[in-house]
Amino acid sequence: MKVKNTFVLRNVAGSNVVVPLGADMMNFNGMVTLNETGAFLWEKLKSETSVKELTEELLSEYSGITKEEAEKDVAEFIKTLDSKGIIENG
Amino acid sequence: MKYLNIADYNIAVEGFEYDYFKTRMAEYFTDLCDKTPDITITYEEKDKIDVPTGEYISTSLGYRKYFRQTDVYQIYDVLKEPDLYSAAIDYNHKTGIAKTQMFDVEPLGGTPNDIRCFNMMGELFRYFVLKNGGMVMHSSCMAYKGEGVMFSAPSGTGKSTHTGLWRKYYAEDVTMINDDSPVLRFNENGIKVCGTPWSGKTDINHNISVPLRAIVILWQSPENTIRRLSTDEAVFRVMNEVTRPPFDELMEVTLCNIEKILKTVPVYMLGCTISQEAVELVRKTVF
Repeated sequence: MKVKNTFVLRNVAGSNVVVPLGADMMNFNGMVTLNETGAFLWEKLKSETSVKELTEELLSEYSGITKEEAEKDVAEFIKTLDSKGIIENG
Repeated sequence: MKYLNIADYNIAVEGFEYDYFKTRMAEYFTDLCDKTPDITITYEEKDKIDVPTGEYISTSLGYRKYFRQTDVYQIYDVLKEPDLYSAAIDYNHKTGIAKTQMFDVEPLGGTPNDIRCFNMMGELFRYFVLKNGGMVMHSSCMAYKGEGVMFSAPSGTGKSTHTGLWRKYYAEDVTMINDDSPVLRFNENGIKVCGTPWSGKTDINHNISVPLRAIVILWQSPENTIRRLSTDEAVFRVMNEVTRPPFDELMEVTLCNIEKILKTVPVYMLGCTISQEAVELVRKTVF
């Protein structure tokens, strides 16, 4: 899975904002802002990856968290993006 | 050729000969301008509108289609698929020349062309200003003692009602700029807010420009409260009140403009009743 290339992450005055482009812009309601972890995962999701890979990336980037916490964070993040139609499964 | 001055832009227009257009634009006509126009807009009534030549991008409202061909943005309203159109804008942002065409839908029960061509120019204006250092932001906007305050909220919340209260209690100090869609202009000295003739359902607008003092996001509440929003909160609110253009580079410009707003002016959240107390709370907090 990966994020659709019609969505980009932009830093606007210090906030990480997910911005829909082109055709998706017209159909996208609401807005998504990401915290530091979310922005980190977003970068990884720009190319094809998996829950397992994302969990490993998170564990190696942030030393203070357990595997269970990382799995839970990744699962919730994917669920949020998926519910807004930002992710495509390849 | 006639000339308009809107939000300090010089606009040359040709073909807009309707009385309705002249009435709505009355405050914005200017004598022959000595500078090159920032944009030249022509209007033509057509029996059949030329089919757009650009690459299809997207559709909004179910009928408004966006195309582009190199430097030309094309905004076309569909009357009947596949290729019957009721209105068209071809805006070349390099040359600053825009061509508008209108097919008369009044015999079919539609809105007359005089109103539609005025509204279509307002649509074109949104994209033109983004290319030229400005941005339209949905709000009821007034000047209080020469400084601009924008009251923004989803339609139906009571923006106009609130600015109406300011006009009632501070008649001498308040001038309305635009009741629905003022333009922000960005330059090295800060942000100005300017009137335009397009003000939604009302014709409450004036051809003036003042420095922007603050943005106030409004919601109806049983009590009057106000607080300044953090950047994280404000970015969300501001983005909801600006046009999100389908042309990618204009979306980038929009984001840069939002950033400039958040770095330059405070954004407040106001919970308010319809009362003088609400006006006083804003006045004491913002000024």
